[in-house]
Amino acid sequence: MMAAIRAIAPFAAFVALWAIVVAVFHVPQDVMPSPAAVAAAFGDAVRKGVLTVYTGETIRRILIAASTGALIGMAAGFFVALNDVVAEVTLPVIRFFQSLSGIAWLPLFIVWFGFSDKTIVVAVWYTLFFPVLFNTVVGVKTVPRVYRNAILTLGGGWSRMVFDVLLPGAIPYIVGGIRIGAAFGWRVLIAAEIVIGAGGLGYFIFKAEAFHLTARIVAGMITIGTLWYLTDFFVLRPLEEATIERWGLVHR
Amino acid sequence: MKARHWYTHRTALFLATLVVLWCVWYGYSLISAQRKTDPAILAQIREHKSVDMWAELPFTPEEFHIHYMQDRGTLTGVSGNWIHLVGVSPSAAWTIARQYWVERVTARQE
Amino acid sequence: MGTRSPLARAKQLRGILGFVLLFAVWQAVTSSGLVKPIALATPEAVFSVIISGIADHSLLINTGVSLERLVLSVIVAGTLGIALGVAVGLSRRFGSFVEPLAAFFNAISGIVWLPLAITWFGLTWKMLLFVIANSVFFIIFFNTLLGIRTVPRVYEQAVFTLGASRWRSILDVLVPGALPGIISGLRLGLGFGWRALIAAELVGATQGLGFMIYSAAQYLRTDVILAGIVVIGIIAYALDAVLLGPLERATVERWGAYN
Repeated sequence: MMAAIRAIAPFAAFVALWAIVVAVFHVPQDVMPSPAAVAAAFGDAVRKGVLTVYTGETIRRILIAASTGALIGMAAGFFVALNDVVAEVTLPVIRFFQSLSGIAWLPLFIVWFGFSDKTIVVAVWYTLFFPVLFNTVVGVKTVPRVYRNAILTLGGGWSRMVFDVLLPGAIPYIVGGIRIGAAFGWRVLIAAEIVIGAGGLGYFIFKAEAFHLTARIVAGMITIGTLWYLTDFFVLRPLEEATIERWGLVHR
Repeated sequence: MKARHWYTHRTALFLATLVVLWCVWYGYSLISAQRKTDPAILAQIREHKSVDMWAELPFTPEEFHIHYMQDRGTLTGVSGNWIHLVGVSPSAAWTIARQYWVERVTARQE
Repeated sequence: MGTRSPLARAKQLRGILGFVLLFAVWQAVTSSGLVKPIALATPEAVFSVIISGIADHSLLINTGVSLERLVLSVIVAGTLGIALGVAVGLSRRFGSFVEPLAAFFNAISGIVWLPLAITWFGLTWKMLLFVIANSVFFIIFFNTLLGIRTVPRVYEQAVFTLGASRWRSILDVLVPGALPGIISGLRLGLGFGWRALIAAELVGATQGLGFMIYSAAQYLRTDVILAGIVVIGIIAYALDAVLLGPLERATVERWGAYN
């Protein structure tokens, strides 16, 4: 109980400070709304289904892009990592594409797919794919040769090699890659939704700005932050901690 | 965070809660869609026929709602809290009926 | 560059081979007619756009404007981030209050602030600065914090036993000790800042690389888009890999803080 209170305290204090500042300095509602106004805007947007539908679209996009991007990235990573020369040739190129944010590709995707849902999902997919690919290759390559040779001498074929030796060895790196990819992917998703305008939370806050509904903008921002925070706290970080612990690697 | 059994771990609980909540939400939407829609329209949906309908919202439609409806049928008019659509496919009509922010789906404006 | 072992040199060459292959694939795909020129410009088209962009300075201006925004934002956000990071690192009570808030705001850093920033500053350079500095600040803050926290207590205590004041312990022990973290933060910050910058420019700027590629999309000019992407990518790669490497070598490695 005490722990919960201590966790909420900074946020409660911040909200209180916010309310006081807005009241004392007579800040106009369309510059910075009070916490109450934001809560009201949140309730209004949910009641009218606007926020719910848009949130659903955003979540759908990240789930599709994340699952396919991560799976294909892992599979491709294993293929690339199996041959040392191939890995050395492709790794710098992969790294180049990883540094090049998915957002920069958006104009090209717009030319190909228009201002559509597809464009957004492809951009997010790209942003997730490369970190996972890169980290999978690096992870597989760090599995000591001894283990690979061991499974071969024990008569294992490639499937045992992948699932019993390479995958467990590379998992901490892969999960790290997924976490990086997800963080970048989430940001690219919101940015793409703002640019493309095909629904979603990014579009929600952008449209609210056009109508000067500042309370809605803030409500949307809090929603975005909370969704990411929940995902990171309940899914991504535990995953990372679990794999590092289990495999006994402390490589931070 | 360590848990005695994997299913009491916060990730598993979180995901399980999400699944349960989603199922409850979806189930409720099905039940209320049944209640909200005009029997005549329900019959048309069941026969896989395209539907002409009026949807009543408990508030004045915003641009979002107009857009939403336009994506699902041909919007011919908005009067007060009512939106008139023609040529809506049965599945789209059912989806509209399921939305919690749609109050009623009827064949005639009231 | 210094001497490199033959093994390292071979690795470097293979890396370059990778880019050569990429280029070859691009050339093959566009010239074989597999892909229409309107969908993907040929390497020569992109190259000529780059050359003419340099000749009439338009590419140089756009690149310069973008880099200028990045540097300015990093300076502003970096100063704040390092200052706050040191302050929070020094006081445990302050830290337990600020950190959860920082973690939450980090979750919405960057482009999410765009609509609010437009409300406050309009479509001006101030708005862009705010959005970019926003992303950069949190990275630098958290890395500085980590840097301060990982300075072994022994060093601080040693300096105290030698009669140093709190101030001297901060200036002579903690900050230098935190330098790997700070540099790490700056390096990541530049990378993150560049991403946020391109995103912000796509929507809210009338100059710069982001603006250049977005407006080119309206005219289906894939050659201009790809030219912009090439420049953006080279800068991004350089920021991630090259820029702070030498700086790290000159300061941190020399002081033996790296193993």
